Amino acid sequence: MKLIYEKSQAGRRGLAVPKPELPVPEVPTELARKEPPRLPELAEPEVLRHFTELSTRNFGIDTGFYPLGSCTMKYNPRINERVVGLPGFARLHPLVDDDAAQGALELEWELQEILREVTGLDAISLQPAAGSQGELTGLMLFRAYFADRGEDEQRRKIVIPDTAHGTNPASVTMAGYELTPVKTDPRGNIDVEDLRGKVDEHTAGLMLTNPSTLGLFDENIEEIERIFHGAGALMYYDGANLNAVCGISRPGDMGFDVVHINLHKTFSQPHGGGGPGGGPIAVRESLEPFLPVPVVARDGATFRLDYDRPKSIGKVRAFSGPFGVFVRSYAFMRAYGPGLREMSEVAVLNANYLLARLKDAYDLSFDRLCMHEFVLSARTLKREHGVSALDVAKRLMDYGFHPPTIYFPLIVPEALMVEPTESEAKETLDAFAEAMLAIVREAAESPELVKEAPHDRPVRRLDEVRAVKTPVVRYGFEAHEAPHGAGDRQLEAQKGA
Amino acid sequence: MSQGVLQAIFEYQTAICELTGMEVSNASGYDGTTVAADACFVAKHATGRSKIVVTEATNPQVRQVVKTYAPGFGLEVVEVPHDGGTTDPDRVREAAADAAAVIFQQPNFFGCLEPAPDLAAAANDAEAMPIAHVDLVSLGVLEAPGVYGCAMAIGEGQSAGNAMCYGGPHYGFLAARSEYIRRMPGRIVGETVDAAGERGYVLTLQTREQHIRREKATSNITTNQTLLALAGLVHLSLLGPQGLRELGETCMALAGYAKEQLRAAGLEPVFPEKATFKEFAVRTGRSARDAISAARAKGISPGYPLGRDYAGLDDALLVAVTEQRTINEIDRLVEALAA
Repeated sequence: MKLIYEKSQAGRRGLAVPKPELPVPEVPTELARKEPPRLPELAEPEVLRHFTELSTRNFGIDTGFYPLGSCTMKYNPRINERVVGLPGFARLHPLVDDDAAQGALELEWELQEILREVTGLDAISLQPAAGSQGELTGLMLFRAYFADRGEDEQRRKIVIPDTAHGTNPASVTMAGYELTPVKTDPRGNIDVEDLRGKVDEHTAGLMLTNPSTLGLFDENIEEIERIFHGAGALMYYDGANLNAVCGISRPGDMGFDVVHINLHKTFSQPHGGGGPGGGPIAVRESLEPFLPVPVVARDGATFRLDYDRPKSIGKVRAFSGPFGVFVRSYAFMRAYGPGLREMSEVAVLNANYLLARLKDAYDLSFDRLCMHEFVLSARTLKREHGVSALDVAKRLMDYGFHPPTIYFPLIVPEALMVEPTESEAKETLDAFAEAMLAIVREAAESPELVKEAPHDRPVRRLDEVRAVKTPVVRYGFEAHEAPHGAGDRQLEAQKGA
Repeated sequence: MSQGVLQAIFEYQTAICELTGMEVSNASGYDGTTVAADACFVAKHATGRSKIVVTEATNPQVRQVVKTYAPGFGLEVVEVPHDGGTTDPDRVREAAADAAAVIFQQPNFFGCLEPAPDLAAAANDAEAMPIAHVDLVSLGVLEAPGVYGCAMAIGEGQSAGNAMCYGGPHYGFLAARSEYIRRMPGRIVGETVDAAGERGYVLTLQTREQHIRREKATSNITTNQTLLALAGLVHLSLLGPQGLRELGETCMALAGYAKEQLRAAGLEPVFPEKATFKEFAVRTGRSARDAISAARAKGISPGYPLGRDYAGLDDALLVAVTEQRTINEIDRLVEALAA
């Protein structure tokens, strides 16, 4: 398919700009643009068709089953888009006075209340733009908390299990902390014995996803809590897998001091292309003074943005947060109401059903009841037939499914991480299971069929090495087109006319 | 499975490079504030220095976010005060000694046009990376940062293609010269070929990223703002180069009209000598907050009180006028602000 720049025709345009009959002030010559940017030049229907065609070259949650582990690709109710498009939300300027934004502030405050209930913690900051920013903000709160107690210099280490998302260690570095890795035991829990020797007066805290990236609930969480709090350290809960436990168990009750919530995962948001997200954090009372500004506060029947917080770490993002994300997630939560528990129960049920159908055909490192996702391994397929997790993933595309997450977590070789979510009906799960089982048979009977997959996607396997060795990260106008300048001359001629 | 969105991001990266005069753009950051913190991280590792200079005339929220991130990065932040609404290149040159980067905004927070090429040169003289925080919709009429020597260009993309929506979700753009490509934060889409030799797109240079590199990653960013960046690309594609230029001219014409009419009504510009783009500061002759309240009673939300962030500007109001406004509305604004 052509790039939009290859469809461009000099002088064509898709949008008319209002031109008032007023003089245009001069831009000082040394600050004025000399060469126009080579943006596409197309009429409106051409732009529309280009992007419509691009949309057909994607596989999204609206196309079919999307069990991308750890990403919680659930259905995005259409009503949420209607609500967020209401002019009173969509056209609200972020710097209006609080009395002109009472509706928006009330929504934010109520969202905070719901998140307090879901997490079992005391105070909320809605500001972080995504889970990873929530992590970083949480670690900044750790530092502020310990600095306030005169212990920041002493406590430099953050403990992270080897199953953790890559964002955890990356956030540790960005917050200026050092990483202490801890192992996983044979049941898929944190290895408590390994942990004991690693937590001391130099430990600032733990970052843990529970259920873990293996889809397993850590059976020793109470012991882990005693170890960290006993050493005066704090506990951070990576909420990436919160979809497993809403209304069932609460991070605050498990002992966690800071939690981030991935609104775009658990509470629905169209994020298949990579975003947007929302990563509010919930904290225990002892960390509340350090939250970023502003915090939404309530005085009787009115709401306001509170900036007067002398111990605040500052700001991690503009304004109060990604408001449109809040509107969608709030609508999603209110549609469930107290039935939110059922959402998590069905997510866990769906995952266990699929696991039961697949665990004899693939390898399973930890044979336990799973939570909302599970991790299979293709190591036997690889050893016996040379068919890797990547090959399985590519072959699933031919069957009309989005592949699961592969090669993660790192401790499982040839990992296939499957997260069905609560959105899917039994027939869909069965069809996926049948495809996964068929691929095992194909691997034995005709491995090349699997290894050369996909066979009917817009592109075959892509040469990723070439993309790294000689990076092409923007369109090369010079290489592709008639000499630049022809279009400009045409533009000049038009202006003259 | 995602060739459509990958191609769209490749096209977005191309548009950002064209607008900023840079050679590489990432697939988007959270917003116009966090990309500034990202840029500081790049600068720290590219230069091995640990001081960041940021001009006081840069958006206060951008400065706040940089300062919040700085301790974790091991960075010290130094601010250069403005001098009558713009920044003096000599003061930047002085502050930039031993600095990793100099961040300035063009147009700046007061709406004034900075002597951007001179600021970039001052930073370059000290071997600090000049980083311009720019307004996408100004780049049809204002020079591209890449042309006047900047190492990176960053900014907030909301005004190109996305609703205000009480502050988000929006997207931040981050572009750089190609020498920084392997230090860039976030996703980057690259062009390659498939097994049959057909053109296709992949996420590339992923060894920079957290899922591979973990604690040695260039950033922890994972979820970004693709859907919003895509909206930005659609908007820019509809405008084209000529539309973008006209958009800038219309903003300038309407803002110029508003400035003149307010002056005629007794509201003097705070920085009368300075050229502006679509925003400008005026003296209201009373507390700006009172002026805002009075105007709101007449159905107009007239602007932002600069005293909130700058000492000595309690009577100053920052007014923004874009192509969305009409002459009639501007006349109502003037009426509402005239004492």
